[in-house]
Amino acid sequence: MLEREVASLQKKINEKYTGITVSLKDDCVVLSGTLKDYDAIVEIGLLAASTKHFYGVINDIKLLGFKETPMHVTKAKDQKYNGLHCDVLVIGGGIVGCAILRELSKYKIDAVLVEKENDVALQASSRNDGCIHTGVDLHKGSKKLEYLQRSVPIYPELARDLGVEYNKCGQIIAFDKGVYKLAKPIFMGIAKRNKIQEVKFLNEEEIKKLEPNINPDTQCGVLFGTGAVVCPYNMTIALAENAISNGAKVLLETAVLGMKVINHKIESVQTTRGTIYPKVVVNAAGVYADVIADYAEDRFFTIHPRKGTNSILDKKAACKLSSSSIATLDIHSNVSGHHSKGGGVVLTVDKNPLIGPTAHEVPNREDVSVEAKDIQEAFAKHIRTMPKLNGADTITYFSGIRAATYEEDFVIQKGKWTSNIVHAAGIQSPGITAAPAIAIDIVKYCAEELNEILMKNPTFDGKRHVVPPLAKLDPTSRNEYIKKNPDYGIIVCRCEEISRGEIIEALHRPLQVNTVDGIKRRVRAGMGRCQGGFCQPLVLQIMAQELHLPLEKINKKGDANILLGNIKEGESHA
Amino acid sequence: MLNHYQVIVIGGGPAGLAASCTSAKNGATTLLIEREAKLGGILKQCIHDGFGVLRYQEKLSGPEYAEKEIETLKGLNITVSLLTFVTAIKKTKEGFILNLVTKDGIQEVSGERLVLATGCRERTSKQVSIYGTNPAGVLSAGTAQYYINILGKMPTRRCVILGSGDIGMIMARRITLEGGKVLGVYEAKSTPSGLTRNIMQCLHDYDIPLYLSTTVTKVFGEERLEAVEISQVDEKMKPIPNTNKIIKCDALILSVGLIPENEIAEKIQVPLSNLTKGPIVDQTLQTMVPGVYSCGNALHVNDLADYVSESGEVAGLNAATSRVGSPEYVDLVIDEHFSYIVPEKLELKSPLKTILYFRSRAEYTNKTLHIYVNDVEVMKRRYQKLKPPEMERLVVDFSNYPNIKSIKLSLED
Repeated sequence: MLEREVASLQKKINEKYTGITVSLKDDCVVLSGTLKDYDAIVEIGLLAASTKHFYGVINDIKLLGFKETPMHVTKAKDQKYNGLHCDVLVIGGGIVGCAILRELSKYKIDAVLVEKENDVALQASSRNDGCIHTGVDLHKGSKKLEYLQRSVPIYPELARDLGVEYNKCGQIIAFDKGVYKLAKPIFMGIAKRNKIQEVKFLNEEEIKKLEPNINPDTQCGVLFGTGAVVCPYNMTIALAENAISNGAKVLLETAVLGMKVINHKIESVQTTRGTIYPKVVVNAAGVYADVIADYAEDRFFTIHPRKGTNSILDKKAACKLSSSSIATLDIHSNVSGHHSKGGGVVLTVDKNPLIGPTAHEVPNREDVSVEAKDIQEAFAKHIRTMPKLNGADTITYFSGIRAATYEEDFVIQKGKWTSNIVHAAGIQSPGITAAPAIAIDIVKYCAEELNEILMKNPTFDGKRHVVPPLAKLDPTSRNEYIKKNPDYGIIVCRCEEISRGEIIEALHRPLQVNTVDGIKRRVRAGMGRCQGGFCQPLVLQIMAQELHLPLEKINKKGDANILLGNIKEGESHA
Repeated sequence: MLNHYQVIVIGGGPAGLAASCTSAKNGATTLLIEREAKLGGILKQCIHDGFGVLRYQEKLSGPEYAEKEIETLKGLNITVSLLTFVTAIKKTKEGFILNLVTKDGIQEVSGERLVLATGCRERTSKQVSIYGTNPAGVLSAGTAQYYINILGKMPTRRCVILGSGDIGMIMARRITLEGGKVLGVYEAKSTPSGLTRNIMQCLHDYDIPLYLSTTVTKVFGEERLEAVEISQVDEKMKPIPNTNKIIKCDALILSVGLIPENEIAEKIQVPLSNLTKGPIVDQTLQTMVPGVYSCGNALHVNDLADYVSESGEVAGLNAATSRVGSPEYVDLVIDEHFSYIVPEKLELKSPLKTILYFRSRAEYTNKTLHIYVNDVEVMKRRYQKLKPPEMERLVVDFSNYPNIKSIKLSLED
């Protein structure tokens, strides 16, 4: 039966390309050969997935002359964790990995998370727009929609428990011409189909009242009231910190290099810090999830990295919006036929307008460099919604890589061939939204594999005890903090109004942080319009003092130091 | 600290120091607010000389100049509040109420008049469209200056400097003196952005090359900066294809312009000038919000600290003494050969002796400045050379001209 599908796919591919072989591995389709056009490789992968006949797409087509950049790892290489045994080993400290770790910490499970970088949330989880999505662009029956639907209702309480800001101001899809008359029936229909609550049609007057800065050509819009924003890296860090407080372990700078699999069972996991012996492995490895699956002899999907670029604008920018996010529907694309919603203008929890993201297929999994054309593309697209968008208001920009599969859906399941692996892979938008519900199911699968009835962790405290951003407090509450500790009254970061006390508090939280960028993500020192020009030297000094390290040992990120040594030492010391 | 002052000065750099000194000398109870632990502002890290030539007729280093200014506060009725941050401000009928964050808690203080001496900040790499990775080693010249002069630490051993602003050139010399290698100073414009004296004393004397019409377009390096891509640019400052070159270095130091800091001004709706990015002011340095004065680099970016102090004195004097009811303004209209003029307005009920600061739009030789009042030429002055980086100062007493309805300034051949 599947052989016929293979032949049919082969024929279709041959019409356009030569040298591509289609074969089967059980019920998965395997694509192999070499092409010189990367987009063609992606196209063939998507074509194979679109037949929906195969369990998974293994796209091994090589790009001619392309040598993949080796996986980024830090310099830490020792045997610190050699011989470590645990019940569950989570690979990957993104939002999904950290949500799983926290979920595991609710039970009497010996849970360990390994992350190759020296902080959590360094890849896609910090490189996105932070939207809590509504599901309007998702297919019925997809895992994306299922986990989104289950997560949206539990998000507000989770964010509250973790002390993470959650702003629910609604997402708007606006219509400016042509199709606008169809907008109401179509979108009300999708809302009903995807069980989206709090949907409201806005006529021209209503949308312009709600969003005075919107393009005057706007005819109407649909407000999805469940749309919200969080700070995605804060959420990830909070999940990790709370998991650690409840007994779970996070091993930073620990990269997985291979696994020993015997009789379809992972016996051990080799890392840069020694061999670890878990009973169950959770694959939450983001862009490397298919590599991890391959180590586990359980690769039935392929990650094709898709880059997205966002710009962040000054809080003072004139393109202010009052909803959480807004985008104008492009009449040339149909909403459900696209793999990414197409971005928009987002108001972050810190009230900065964010423009993007774009979506481009790229061969490298970790190339987060920013190109001028991507920035320009996003502005050109979204200026249609917000005519006051102005590149001169830009504070910063960044790119991230979505870990897309060819099925363009999440992979949330137990291993296909290997028994003790559970995959939480193929995570892209709406991954930030869906993480809480994904974590619940992954833990269920882990428990099944551990073959144990889960015992609740009797000391679990789901609340994270953390100093809130003081500048956002009312003067009386803020005063109470300062009276207790005068450092809370010494402002170090002038743009974001962050105190010395908040920086010191962040340095002593359960998840260690030893980089300037790590502090920036936790308390926002250096996130403002001067981009750390004034406060970076001050933050550096506070860190050196608190961590008992020389100034030269405080890095911006990873192994990247800021200061190279004393003055008067000459170039030769470089 | 009391809970009420006649004059509150925000910012303890040279402008704020001069403003509070003058305010107190003229009898106003004065509060000086500074967010750092010490007074002096950016002068503290400017250990090179050249400060004070106009004001003290001697060459001082930044800290020495600051010390002299701080000395003038002694014995005057000024409250200095250090490590104090203005978190909120509102305008009331009687004046202004400020919420201050200090290590003793949040304090509320009211003032009748306000002097904004909040200085300026440096433009960042993202504001000049540098793309690529996000490595360590991309920093502003001011930050590099802090690391070297305050902490005694090197942020680079081998660097490229983008922008020929004064701090960039001063840092090129400083890095060289400390044993680092400056591979070149790159300037996107076709003319330098800084003072001629700095080109000579900081670059020329140290054999540091200056490349005009060339900019950095991209940075490389996942962790520490490894290289930069430079490209030549056309008149519109767009990179010219196939002129790009990769230069290996461990840091990119940016001196790509300064922006007046007016976040507090904006909170009380002080209108800003599109030309200076500082508040629109009259000759008393009062902004368009009565009772709010602006001076120093918050008003417009100066090239000499001496001018900064001078404007602080004007703002401080007028904040302490001026009592204008409803102002009556005449605009100072400039022609296309100016990039800006300060003040942009003349207030007719105030003393009309005016210090004008202006910059030309481009480099000119042998231009004559003509000033017309009510379309009649009242003054002219010849300039052999005008350069945008070198600010010009001119005192004009408009009280010599009765019945002023319009003022026009032009730079003619």
